[in-house]
Amino acid sequence: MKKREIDDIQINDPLLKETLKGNPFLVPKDYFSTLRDETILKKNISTLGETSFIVPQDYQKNLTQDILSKISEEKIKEFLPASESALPPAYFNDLQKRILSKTVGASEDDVVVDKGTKEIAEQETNKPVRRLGIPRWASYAAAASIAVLISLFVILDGDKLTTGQNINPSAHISSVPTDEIISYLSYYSEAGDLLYLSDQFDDLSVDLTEDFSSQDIEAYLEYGI
Amino acid sequence: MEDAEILEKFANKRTREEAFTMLLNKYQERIYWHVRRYVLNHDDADDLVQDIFVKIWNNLDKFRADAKLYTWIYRIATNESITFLNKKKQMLNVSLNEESSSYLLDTLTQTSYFDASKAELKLQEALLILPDKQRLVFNMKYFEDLKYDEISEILGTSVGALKTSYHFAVKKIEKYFSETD
Repeated sequence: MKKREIDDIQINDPLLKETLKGNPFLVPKDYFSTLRDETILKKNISTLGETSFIVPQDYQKNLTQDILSKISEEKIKEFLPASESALPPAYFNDLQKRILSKTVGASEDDVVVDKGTKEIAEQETNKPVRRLGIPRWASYAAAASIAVLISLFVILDGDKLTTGQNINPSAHISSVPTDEIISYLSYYSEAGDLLYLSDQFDDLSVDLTEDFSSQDIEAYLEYGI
Repeated sequence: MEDAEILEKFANKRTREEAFTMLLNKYQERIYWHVRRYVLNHDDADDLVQDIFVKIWNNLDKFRADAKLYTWIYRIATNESITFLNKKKQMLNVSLNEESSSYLLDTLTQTSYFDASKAELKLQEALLILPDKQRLVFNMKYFEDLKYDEISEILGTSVGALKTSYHFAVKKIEKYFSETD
């Protein structure tokens, strides 16, 4: 198709040409004069609506999601069982009564129901409380008995210890060889002691019992080590 | 009145209302016929025109002077009309790609604001066999006598495509007229 034909497009059909000149569309009387006023009124209403009602920021943006979340919550609630932690009605009203009946041993007649916890507490103070455990004098008697027994044991066993065994320290030490005494002393005593002792003995075979008594040696062993 | 004067008055808050009234006086009737020839029904056109100018009021401060004011107004009016017609099709379960012929013809014949001769009714029937956008191009070129450059700016379509579209629209209408009596 040539460019000129497109630019110069003409309607050839004469009937069509004539028909296209008319306008079959009608409007109400004085329509355009009222249209202006109606448009201005509509504009004012839309402007008024925007300024009168203020919503939080991003309200419309979040509204859809909030509504859907609420719907989901309601649906979930329908399927969830009643909470296991739900309490029966007037639970706390009867709670104290039940506790007292099980602990204090009061009969049902003694506990006033529905007259406040103060009255219940007053009645409780007038009641003798049963105490468990042993009497005080018994504990004192037991302690005294134990003390006597321990004393007797100490006295009797102590005499046995002192009289039962005859310990002769001199005879015991004199039976120990000198070399063993010296090696023992070198192992357990301080170096100064060893030097001192070695200076005292020119010969290792010296009989210690000649210069030192058994009591001296024993005392040294007992207090020096 | 010049568009520049309207824009200047609109920029001033004290004279904004006056500017809007001037705008209505200058363009309201033209926009009404532009919308009416497209949607055919007077009540629909009436609602649309008011909504279009409310939208112009809300957005005129954003108008950039690099385009002509009336092409900017035409663009808003055209887009609102296309959107309205598509919504109406969805409500009536009409395919969006389908021509508007069937249900718009019912609108045309049932309205009290249509007084047409037999030929005029035949012409409207011929126009309704065109795709919506092609019908729009024909209306703007033939009835509103807009230039191809202006139509191109309004619809965002190239001048060449518009010329071709108009050419085929004329051929279809002529064929319909000759084949039906």
